Amino acid sequence: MAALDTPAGAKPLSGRRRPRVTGAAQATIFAVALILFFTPLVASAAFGFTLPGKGFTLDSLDVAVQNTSFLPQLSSTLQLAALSTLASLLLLVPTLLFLHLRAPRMLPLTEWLSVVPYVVPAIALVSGANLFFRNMAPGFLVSTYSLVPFYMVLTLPLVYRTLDAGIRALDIRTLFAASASLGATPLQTLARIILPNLRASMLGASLLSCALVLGEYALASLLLHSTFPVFMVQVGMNQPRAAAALSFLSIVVTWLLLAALSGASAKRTRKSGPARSTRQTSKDLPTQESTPAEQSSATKGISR
Amino acid sequence: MTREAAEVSLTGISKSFGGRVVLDRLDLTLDGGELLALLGPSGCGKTTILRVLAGLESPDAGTVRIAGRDVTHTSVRNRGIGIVFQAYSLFPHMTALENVAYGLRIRGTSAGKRTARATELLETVGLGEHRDKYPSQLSGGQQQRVALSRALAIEPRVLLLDEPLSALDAQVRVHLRDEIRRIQTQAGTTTLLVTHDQEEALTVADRVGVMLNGRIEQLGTPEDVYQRPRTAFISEFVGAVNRIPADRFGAQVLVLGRRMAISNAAPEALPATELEALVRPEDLELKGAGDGPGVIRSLVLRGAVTSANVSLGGSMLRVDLPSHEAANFTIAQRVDVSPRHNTALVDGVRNGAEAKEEVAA
Repeated sequence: MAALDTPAGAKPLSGRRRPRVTGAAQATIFAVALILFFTPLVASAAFGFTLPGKGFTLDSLDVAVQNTSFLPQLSSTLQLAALSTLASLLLLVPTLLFLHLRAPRMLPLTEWLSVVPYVVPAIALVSGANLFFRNMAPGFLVSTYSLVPFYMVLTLPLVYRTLDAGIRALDIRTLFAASASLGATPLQTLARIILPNLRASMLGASLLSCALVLGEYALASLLLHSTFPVFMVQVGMNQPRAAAALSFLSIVVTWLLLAALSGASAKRTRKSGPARSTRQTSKDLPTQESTPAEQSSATKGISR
Repeated sequence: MTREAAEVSLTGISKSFGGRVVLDRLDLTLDGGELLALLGPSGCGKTTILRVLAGLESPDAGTVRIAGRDVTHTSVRNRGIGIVFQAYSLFPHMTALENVAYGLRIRGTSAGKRTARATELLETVGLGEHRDKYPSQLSGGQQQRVALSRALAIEPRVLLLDEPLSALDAQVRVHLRDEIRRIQTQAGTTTLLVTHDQEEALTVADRVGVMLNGRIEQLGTPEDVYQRPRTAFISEFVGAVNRIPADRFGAQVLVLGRRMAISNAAPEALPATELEALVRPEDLELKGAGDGPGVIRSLVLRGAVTSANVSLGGSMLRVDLPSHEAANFTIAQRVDVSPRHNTALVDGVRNGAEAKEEVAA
């Protein structure tokens, strides 16, 4: 779409210097940010993958992976991430669609409610949940999967906002009305029109939710569950090099995962384009005489 | 496209939102195949009528009939209507072709048939070569043409146009409204157009209904509404108008030294003084006269016509005359102004600009 803004071949003659200056500034800021960002990562990788006098080695990883519950922990954490994300989407997509269609006045309230998890610290959530469940349903907190509802609460602000923004970008009332007038049932509209257009924001929400769950430590450890972050902290206590190596690897893997997710959503967006970026250009239409509509509106004043 | 044109009737429709009456026992009938435009300021209830007819709003009271069948409680998708919305109604993830074919796909029409039909419709609106573009790659005018094709693809019995041109540039608007008229005539579909643009209504529609405060003030041909407005509100809403001080003598009124018949419903009920006659700028005539009471203050070229602003007796009058005739006049020239016709609509003198809603009986 950017091609529309500057006609192809028409090179900007002036303003040649300004972009270069801002370009240099951009590059500097970008480089500084990258250095600040990568230094700790590279340092932890250097610490984790080297041994004094031995140079590069994977020994520390071996120590961490062998004779430990590395794989079960990893897979249970991945499952938790997938389940929490799926459950959040299943809960929030229909809820938000309902709110936007039928109860738009509730939206400010629900938006405010969605930030409550930011306000309530994890420790408060856990002690409250502990008090409640240990008395009412002692069996509930035993399973690792009991973390799912907590993670849903934890990721609520991010997931809510991402989905809400996606829905706001569509005029879903009009889309529903248009689809209904063409003979579609509400379910058909949901499946064929609304969900495909929410794909990008649903992927975005999943991305944030997964990232949060994969790195969540406080809740899991306070509820005495062993997840991958908890495992890493435990490993780090007596094998700091292994923990450094593992955390480096897990960051890389998480990144790849997120990149895959956002890559998928970007591909989608590129295909269908931003929903309403087009401004009217009339270049495809023959020139008309000046419109009398303007005239009469311009002269309305004289009637009073 | 040779489906029998359906007659539409709305009887006694009332609708209020949160205690505010939007429609008040409104009756409206559309003849088969006609294009009826509802014209009115925002908030007058015209869009609510369209939404009631579409089934997007259910009326508090009243009946909606399409082709004789009571559809008051029928859902939108079973009414056999096509709707073109103001904007942003195309499905963003589908190409123009897929958008147009969507209704047929929902009905289970085979892929080959629906592609053929959609292609044909897109060619009708001149978008044949854009069929594989996504809505975001089309201009606003093109998007509305796709929306029109999409609405027509299911061969609706009634076509509803909800301010389809108001989001477009002036030039595209003029072009597209002619095209809508052409396609509507071709398809012969009974059509309701909702608009706040008086020119759009007058140029396109078979009949125009002017709405105010949930009621239809006047329903008639465009000529009727423009030339013989029933109330001062209509007169001012459908075009430019001069308010000229006048005095009443029986059923006549003295305007600029000329007696004119009063076209109001009850002329005898009007007061004798404190009146204003409503005369369109093109219904006034200018004559150069050295001792004339008026003075030309400015001449504004508008293309084929020129507007002369004449100060006369403390008020400013606009007189529209063909531009070639306007060449005979100059600024500061003294002139005589007289009405061309023998009838006029009369309204009480208006105090200040805020009294716009006030309408003479």
